[in-house]
Amino acid sequence: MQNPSNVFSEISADLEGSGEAMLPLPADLLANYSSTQLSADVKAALRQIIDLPLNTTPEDAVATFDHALAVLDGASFELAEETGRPAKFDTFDAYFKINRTHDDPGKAYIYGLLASFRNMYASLDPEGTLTVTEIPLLRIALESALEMFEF
Amino acid sequence: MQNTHEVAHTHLRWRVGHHLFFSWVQSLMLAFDRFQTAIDADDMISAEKELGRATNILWGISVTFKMTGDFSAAMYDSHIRPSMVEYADGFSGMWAYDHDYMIKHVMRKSKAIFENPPKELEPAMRKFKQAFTIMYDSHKFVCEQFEADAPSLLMGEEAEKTAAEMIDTFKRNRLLVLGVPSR
Repeated sequence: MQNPSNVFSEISADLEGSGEAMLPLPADLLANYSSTQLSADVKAALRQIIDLPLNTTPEDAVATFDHALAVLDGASFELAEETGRPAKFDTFDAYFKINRTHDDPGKAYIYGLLASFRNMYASLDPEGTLTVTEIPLLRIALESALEMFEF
Repeated sequence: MQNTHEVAHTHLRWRVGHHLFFSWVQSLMLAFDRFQTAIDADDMISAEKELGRATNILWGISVTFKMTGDFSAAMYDSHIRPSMVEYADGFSGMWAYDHDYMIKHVMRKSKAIFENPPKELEPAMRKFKQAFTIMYDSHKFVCEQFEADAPSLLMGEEAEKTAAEMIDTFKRNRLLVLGVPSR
């Protein structure tokens, strides 16, 4: 069995090179989410996430999320160069390395949520951070969010 | 002594936690939108379901606050706070677009139903308000660990309230947006 702290170091090192997020703009999301069409592959990948045991290990969770993110194909979303909102909001996004897209807002929302959740799992310390009841609360919240889409 | 890895990991934790928070805010927007749609259709079964969904998401946000701030006050003082102060004058959480949008364009639409909920929604409303209150308390808990009596970044040194007191004010104001006077 692999030492948990080694797993943590490997995942953490992987994260340090990325750590960006992509989200839809709220108005786009609200106007379009109800017409989001998910392919059979995406639906199957989301179902795998829902089926993960609440006490799954971070490395198993990360692998399952990585599969879903690959199926959702984040690279296919074109990033918005102009957001048309006051500059302070762009400044805030830039500090936190958040990119916006106008493409397929419902799918972009799911991608953003899964990516941030995946990175949360990957950044957990092996000795603590969240308790045995807190990670399941996050998972229940995730399921509640994903289940707004048909899959 | 803070090593390079610890500093990088602290920045990463700060960023990843905020990414998850913004995704939760978008999730709340959708749940609120579905809740209001159900209310408009006089479909109280669906409205109750959506309120329960929003409540679950609020518990997730409370945990996310704790996870986001899970590093030492020394790391916050020496790296995180300076990174925000130096990034832009007046840098503030008030510049978070998703949160701003949710308050101004989504939550306010539901003020009337929160002020006068139908009998069948009262238990779900009560659970929602409890989770909403705990979410702000969770944010305040993290803030007090780092900021103690420090003024918020937005208000600067001339602020009359500490950052934690500002969160109490936000909590009161957000509850008012929902038509709920806080105790």
